Amino acid sequence: MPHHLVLVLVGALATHAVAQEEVDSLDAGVSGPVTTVRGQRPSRSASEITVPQDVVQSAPRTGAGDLLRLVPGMVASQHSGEGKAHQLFLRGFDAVHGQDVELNVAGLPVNEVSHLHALGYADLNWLIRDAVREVRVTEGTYRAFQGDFATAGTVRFELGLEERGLTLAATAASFNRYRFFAGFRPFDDPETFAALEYTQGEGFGPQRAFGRGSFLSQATFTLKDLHFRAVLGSAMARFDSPGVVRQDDSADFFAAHGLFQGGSSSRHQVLLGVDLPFADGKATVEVYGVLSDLRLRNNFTGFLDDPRGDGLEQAHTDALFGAHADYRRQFVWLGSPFRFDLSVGGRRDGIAQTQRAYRDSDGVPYRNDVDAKITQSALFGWAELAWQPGPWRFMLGGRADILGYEVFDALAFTNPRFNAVPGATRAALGIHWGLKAGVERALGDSVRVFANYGDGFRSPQARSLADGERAPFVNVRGAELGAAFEREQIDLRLATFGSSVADDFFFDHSVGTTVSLGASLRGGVSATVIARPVTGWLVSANATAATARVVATGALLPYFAPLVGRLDTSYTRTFTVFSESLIGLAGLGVTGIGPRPLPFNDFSRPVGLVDVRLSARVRFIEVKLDVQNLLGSLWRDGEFTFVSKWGDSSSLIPSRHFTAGTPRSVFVTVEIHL
Amino acid sequence: MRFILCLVLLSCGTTEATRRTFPVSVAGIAPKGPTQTGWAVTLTSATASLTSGRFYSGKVLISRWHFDPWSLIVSSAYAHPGHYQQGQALGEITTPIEVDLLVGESTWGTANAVTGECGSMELTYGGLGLQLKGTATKGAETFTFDTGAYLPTAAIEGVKFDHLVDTKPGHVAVTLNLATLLERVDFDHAGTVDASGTLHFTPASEAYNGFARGILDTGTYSVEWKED
Repeated sequence: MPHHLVLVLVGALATHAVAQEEVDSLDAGVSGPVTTVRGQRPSRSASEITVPQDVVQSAPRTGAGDLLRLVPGMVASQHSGEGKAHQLFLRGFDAVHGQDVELNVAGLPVNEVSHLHALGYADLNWLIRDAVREVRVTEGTYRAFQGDFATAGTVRFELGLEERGLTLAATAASFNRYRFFAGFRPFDDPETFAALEYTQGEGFGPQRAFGRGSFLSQATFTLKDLHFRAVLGSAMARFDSPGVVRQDDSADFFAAHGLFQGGSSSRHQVLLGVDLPFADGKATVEVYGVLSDLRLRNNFTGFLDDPRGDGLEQAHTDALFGAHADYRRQFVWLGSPFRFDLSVGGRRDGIAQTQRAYRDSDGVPYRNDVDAKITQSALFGWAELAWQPGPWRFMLGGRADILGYEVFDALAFTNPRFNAVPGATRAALGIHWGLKAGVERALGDSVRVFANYGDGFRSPQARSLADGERAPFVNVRGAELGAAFEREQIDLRLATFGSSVADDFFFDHSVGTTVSLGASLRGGVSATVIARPVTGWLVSANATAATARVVATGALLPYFAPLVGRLDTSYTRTFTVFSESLIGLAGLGVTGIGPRPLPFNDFSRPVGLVDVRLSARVRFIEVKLDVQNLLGSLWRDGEFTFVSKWGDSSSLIPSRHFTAGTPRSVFVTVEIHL
Repeated sequence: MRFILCLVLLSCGTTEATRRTFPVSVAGIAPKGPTQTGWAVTLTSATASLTSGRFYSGKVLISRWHFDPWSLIVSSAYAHPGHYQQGQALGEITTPIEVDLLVGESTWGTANAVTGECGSMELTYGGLGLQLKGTATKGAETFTFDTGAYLPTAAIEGVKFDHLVDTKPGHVAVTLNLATLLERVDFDHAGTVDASGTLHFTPASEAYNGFARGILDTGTYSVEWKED
């Protein structure tokens, strides 16, 4: 049987509901040692795709931002240095630093609840690009496993090293940037590895220096019927931030405003999991813990609010512990295959956060704004039942999330005249119910059409809650119609999507203001293709058009990305040179971002970027030449409209500000594979 | 190009507010009758140096008496008027101008603005501030006077300007009511008359103090939207 038919068969029989690699028996329900086939994750909607490792390797990827740009329709902006979480835009949502995109690495949640800087803050800078085996994208809200912040979609990075043995790499790049990498994969199993990375650079302008180190490892092993998995990781970063440039300022394009901006972060994490046969099905139990902290100094408004400077120093620490147990079973009833998935779990976040205003002249704090300790607990349960009669597949699921908040606000009741003991406590609790449903119809061997519906949610910021308040969730209802054309050489997907947010708000994190918008609507179309037309040639392309409006007025929401396109293509060929085999690769990455609506009916400038990669390998030595922004575009990574007071500027009406994007950068890497 | 792009994206439309510009003019209202202290004033020169004008969202709170019979039985506590919150700047003109207030409407320049509900205006003086010259007559006594220049050290905040600035054409007319201002000036206590017969206000005089307070009084100014 041809290999791709095996995969199709596996895909049809063995669905994948939990967001983890599924290794299913062809003979469902049979226990004991059987031959297993590792298939690609079968998709349950047109926008549920898996980006394989060869696409990851096809063009230059210098960091987490480039990995995030593999997600169809995603814009990842890095507006405050190399250590701060990216600002994300997806499907008409301005997800700020993660509030609308659920990010997960090998089972470890990345979004941080009730984060001081931005809701759902998701810092991925610690992720080592060489250790990413594939990227699993589930756009929309249609699957029951999608949890908090998955209002625009869920992205999960699976880990693994491509090559067995020891890999050592050193990179020298523009602007005195250096990178050292060491990875070790002891077995054929790509999922068991250890990797270490150190990167530093001076940056392409003032106040852009950074350094970071990251260690990441994963081990899997099987003991009889038990399949164990462990993930360990530690990372730290220190970075400067240039702030923003006012458009009406005469400053240089790459200038910096505001001293002492930047910060530091660290993250330490562990996950332990086991798969086991259980009650005629399979179960997975995973426990995990993440210790993370961020210290960040930003000043976007200059001296608008205070002549000493509006800079804010934010410090946030989170000690996360969580666990979940999943159960999945496939069975045949009345001649039709069924699949049942069930999961229950919980997590606890112990958070401490402070915010202080600091003087721009010397960085000394002069005012306490926030001093709070938060315990945030979450419980969830979800289930999906799928029935597959003939060419049809019907899925019905649901999800319940209970969130509990305990807040100690140390800055409440601090007047000694009236309060002997300062501080106040508040507690809130709420539940969110979500419905998930999907219908699939196979049309022949290669075409499937989908209709999906799902409710998603976003949890609130703990400090915004009153005592006894029923925690208000931002509720999202999403629906999608789509089609997939799947053959061995090509995977083509088309989708039209829409989502409704009941009580939406716009959070301008640059100035820290929140504006209630009421109901909002988003919609759009997307097309994604991954093709291998001839041996060695890989094409991955996607385009997304989206709109986002306020229902009451029909006005466009600011900042979302209406048009996003991305092309990754590479050609790999083996040559014989002086009787040696030389593996050559030429790769091209093209990003296009259309004008984004800004407040006051402005539009941002469009972005067009071209990256190239050339690599050659002889035996165990590989040399890579990467060029990002080959055309040397002066492009704006972030554009914002707000009031500021910098230098001689006297205007107090909202002005355009921007952060400069990376100029042309050349990276030369030498890799040794032992 | 953008229109085609919009069609493709189904993203035609605008965000909630938009940018716009509008002209701003300045004029003065000269006194026509005698002041409360009996001085008939005829101005020969009225010069104002303005450096900026800003339009804010913050409303000016004005006390208003309203009889409620229920209040005879149950009294209510009211916050006293005068608390003014400037709010967000929705428009501004930052072109310095020296304007003759006696020639009718003078064009100040063009304000950059965003659409929205305005509640107040802020005026900032520069240069010499405001200076008036003229003749004052009371009974048989007549003399020329020169107030001297007064430059406020801070902007004049909270001038009432209630208007929803949208995209309709129009301009803003700023008027300085010099008659109201001069009501505060008692020429009996102004200063000394020099050899040429001109009365110069001395800074310590009651008249100069009244003149200065008149400039600082938001009631001296009126701001109006005029449709073109």
